[in-house]
Amino acid sequence: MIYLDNAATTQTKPEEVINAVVDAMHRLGNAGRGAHGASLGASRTVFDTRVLLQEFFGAEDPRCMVFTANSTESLNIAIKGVLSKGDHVIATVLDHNSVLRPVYSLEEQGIEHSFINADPMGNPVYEDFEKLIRPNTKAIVCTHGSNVTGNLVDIKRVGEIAHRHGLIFIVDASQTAGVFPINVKEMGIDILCFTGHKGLLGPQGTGGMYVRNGVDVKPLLHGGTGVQSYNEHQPSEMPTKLEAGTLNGHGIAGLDAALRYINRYGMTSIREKEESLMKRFYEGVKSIPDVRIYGDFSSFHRCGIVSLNIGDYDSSEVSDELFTRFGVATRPGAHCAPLMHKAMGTEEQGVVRFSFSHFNSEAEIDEAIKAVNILATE
Amino acid sequence: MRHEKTNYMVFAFHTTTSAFALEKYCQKMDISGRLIPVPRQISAGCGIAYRMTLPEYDRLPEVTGKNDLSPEDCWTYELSNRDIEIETVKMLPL
Repeated sequence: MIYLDNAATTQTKPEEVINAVVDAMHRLGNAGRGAHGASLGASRTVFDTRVLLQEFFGAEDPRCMVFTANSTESLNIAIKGVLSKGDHVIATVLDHNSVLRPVYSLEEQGIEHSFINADPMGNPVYEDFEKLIRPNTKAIVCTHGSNVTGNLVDIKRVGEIAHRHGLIFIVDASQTAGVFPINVKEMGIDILCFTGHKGLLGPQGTGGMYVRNGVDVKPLLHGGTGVQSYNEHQPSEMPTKLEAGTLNGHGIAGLDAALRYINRYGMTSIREKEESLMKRFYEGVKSIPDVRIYGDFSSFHRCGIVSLNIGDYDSSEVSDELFTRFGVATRPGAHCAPLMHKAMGTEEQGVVRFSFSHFNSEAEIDEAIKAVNILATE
Repeated sequence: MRHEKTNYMVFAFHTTTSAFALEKYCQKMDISGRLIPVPRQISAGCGIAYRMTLPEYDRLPEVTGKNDLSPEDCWTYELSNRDIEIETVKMLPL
């Protein structure tokens, strides 16, 4: 199989990530639950990974880094944790359902929302952010990179708008963490939400968030923390406040190994390889008759994604043929981003998304190009 | 269980993260000590504390500077006389 669905999850993981998970399953206890060797071992793994993440994202303190199961959990904690009745929040049509559904769910609590539209290239209309800010606007939520088109969002620019108006800036880095440098201080990010299993190359079930010191986020979950057992309430100190229940210590051990791999291999090298493969694929398919590509390719400094359609074929049929006839794994349909598809006019057809990893080879890209060519011309 | 009474300085924390930050710091500074379950004199709840002998504790301000051992995150307790001396300690440099 030629796996080109890396925007859904990176299938190929560094060998050391797999080994770290297996080793952790052999020896780790429950982090923060006791002071015997097995528990301390788990706690040290969790702490070391927290410090790695702090350094990775330029956070001020390891206690600003919270572990969750994925971006969706992080975004739910962030969105529901900072907004209250009477507030207004701004998100964008580029956002995934992990942003949109929490935002919609708050309507019944009297929390209003507005969405920033996309231009014909699929980029957010930056000028609209200030136009949509109201007296009761509390936060801006924005993806760093569209999971449909691969377009990057100028996070620093949006962060400056948010802070000029005293708003909390929440960023969804699901498609970018591990591939694009993210410095929460330089980019003005108050809350960063990320998953561990995509660009960070860790196991599924790992993820997390950065919460800037001083930003008050109400906990979504309440439960065991290993500390303050006789306190009837969730402890108020970070990161314990947002980490009720047993952490995924085994997965976090894998994430730790993945972060060390990225640091050693070099994020720039990873990104350059992905950009090179994306460019090769884009150049190979862009002139095929009936192939329509979505998104902004004026620069290849973008997520490793090329989404396309062939004529008016259903994207699901195309994706199915790519896999069954050519062994090329892609993702069709709506990609959990309904507003992006509405903006592109692809609600009915969907799009076929090809997404690349630095573990892919040029030969695999060439096979995929050949497959698209055959499907488009036969 | 029978054991000799020894005086220790014990640090307790609001969060497990801070306990491991202190452990890492002490390892870096070559200060002996270890993580233990929180003694009941400090808290009836669960959690992890960091214990060091008094001579090691005396070395701590020397290497951190007294100003580093202020606010926020942990208290110090001297178990020998159970006089609870609360001295809050901020996040130690890693």
